Amino acid sequence: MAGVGIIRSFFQYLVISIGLLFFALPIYASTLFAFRDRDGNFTADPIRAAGENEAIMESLSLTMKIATGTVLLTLAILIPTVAYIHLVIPQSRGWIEFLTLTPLVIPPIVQGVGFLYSMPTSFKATPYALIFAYTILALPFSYRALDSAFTAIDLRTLYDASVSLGGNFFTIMKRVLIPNVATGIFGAVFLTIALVLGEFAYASLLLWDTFPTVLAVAGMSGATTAVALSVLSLLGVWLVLTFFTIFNQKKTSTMVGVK
Amino acid sequence: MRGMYKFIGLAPLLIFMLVFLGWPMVSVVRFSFLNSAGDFTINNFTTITAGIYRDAFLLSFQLSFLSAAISIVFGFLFAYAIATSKISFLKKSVATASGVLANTGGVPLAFMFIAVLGTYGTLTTWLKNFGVNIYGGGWTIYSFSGLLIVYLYFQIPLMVLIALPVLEKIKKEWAEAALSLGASSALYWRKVLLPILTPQLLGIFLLLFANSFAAYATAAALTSGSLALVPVQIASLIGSNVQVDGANTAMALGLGMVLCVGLSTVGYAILERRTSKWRA
Repeated sequence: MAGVGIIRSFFQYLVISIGLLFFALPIYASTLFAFRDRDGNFTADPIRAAGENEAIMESLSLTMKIATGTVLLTLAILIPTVAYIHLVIPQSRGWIEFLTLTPLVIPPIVQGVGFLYSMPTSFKATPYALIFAYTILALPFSYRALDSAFTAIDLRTLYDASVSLGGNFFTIMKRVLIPNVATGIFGAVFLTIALVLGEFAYASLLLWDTFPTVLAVAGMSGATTAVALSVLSLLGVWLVLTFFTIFNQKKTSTMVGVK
Repeated sequence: MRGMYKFIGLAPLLIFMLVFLGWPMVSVVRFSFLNSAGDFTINNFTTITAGIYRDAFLLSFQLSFLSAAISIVFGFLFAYAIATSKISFLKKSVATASGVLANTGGVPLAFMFIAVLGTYGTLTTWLKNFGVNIYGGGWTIYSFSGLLIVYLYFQIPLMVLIALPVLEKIKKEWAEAALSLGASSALYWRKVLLPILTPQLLGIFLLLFANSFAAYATAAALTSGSLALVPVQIASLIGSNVQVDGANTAMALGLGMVLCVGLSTVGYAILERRTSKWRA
């Protein structure tokens, strides 16, 4: 029996090693591709080139602004709505969640075409119209993140206690609800930012120069710069997600529940 | 009437969704039944079931089917090895990495693969040093199989991401019960584990299929439109004004995509609900 066990774990770790290699190889290889000069030494030239490239820097700043706007709009709509659903109509949570998943059924490229042909021209004249589209695209993820955070706390008790202590709606929101669902808010914020940083279909249909569309054009001319930025954006998302996971673990034990 | 009054708090979300999702989709449906002069027609739907548009659906279907099938097999093996391993930080870091890769996708992934497997890619050069020229036989990363390899890089992580929590719900008692009744490990897999997991795996397959069918950015950035998937055709019809009723045809193609992606997703939801019983 011991022999079988050894063979089993050998295969298990073989599969794990192959899987890890599969994940790591493209990241490692494209890092070499982007950050090594002809003599094989490390070079930061592609990043310097990107920094001097006005189109790339402008697109990055536009994408950051759109991401901020999308986050703010998402939270402004969803925090009160989800709180309301949990307090007043908890029995309807099922079909509301189903409703918020509908953007997943419609591919972004089709939503983009519909957006292009239905919105008034004056509204489409600014790239910030994308904020509204991206809020919809992020909805399945942002709603679920907030919904599960609200499920984890005893909202009714918290709410009733605050009301009996004389808190008005805004005080309760600011000082009781939001601190207790902070993890859900961070989850929603992170997922929304990740989505905006990568969204391509809408931006390319509406011909706006966001970071992904400019990156796509940059890749046609100077490969190393585009690869360098690709690696960096992947690592950036990775860092934020790791940070969020660590933050999430620390907080869930202390934040949830009645204080 | 008092019953309806309770739902007033949903108004902001519902109105927002109606304006920015409902109304655009109504436009897609409306335009798909019109020609460019604005008259009613069903010609757009006959257009998309023939010629290059039928080919586009076939190509999208093949790519999505293959990428889902390969991802589910390898993703399952990898997730199973991770879930049953004794190294606990492995599970957490693989889950995080999968989350990043499954969500990033898009344009960065395409360029990273040009750096790896392109004509002057790192791996291409390495292999050449070993005497293997992958570009010797007319293959390129910009081909169907090249795109398939790139798709695996967001499909397999998605599979791992979904499969890990499912595999953690497998109870040790099932294996113990089967083995103590004299079943071999192979029999336990065939008679216990696979029948339990089959509906769920089918559901996940549909989800992976839908995910690949709806994807656009990777194909657009990697092949600059030379592989005519459905989303690529839609974008080129909208981008150029040369074809008669081009935008209307694009809307009809869009509805076709919604049908494919929507049916798969609904199938996933139904199978998921069926299996959530034993997971409870």
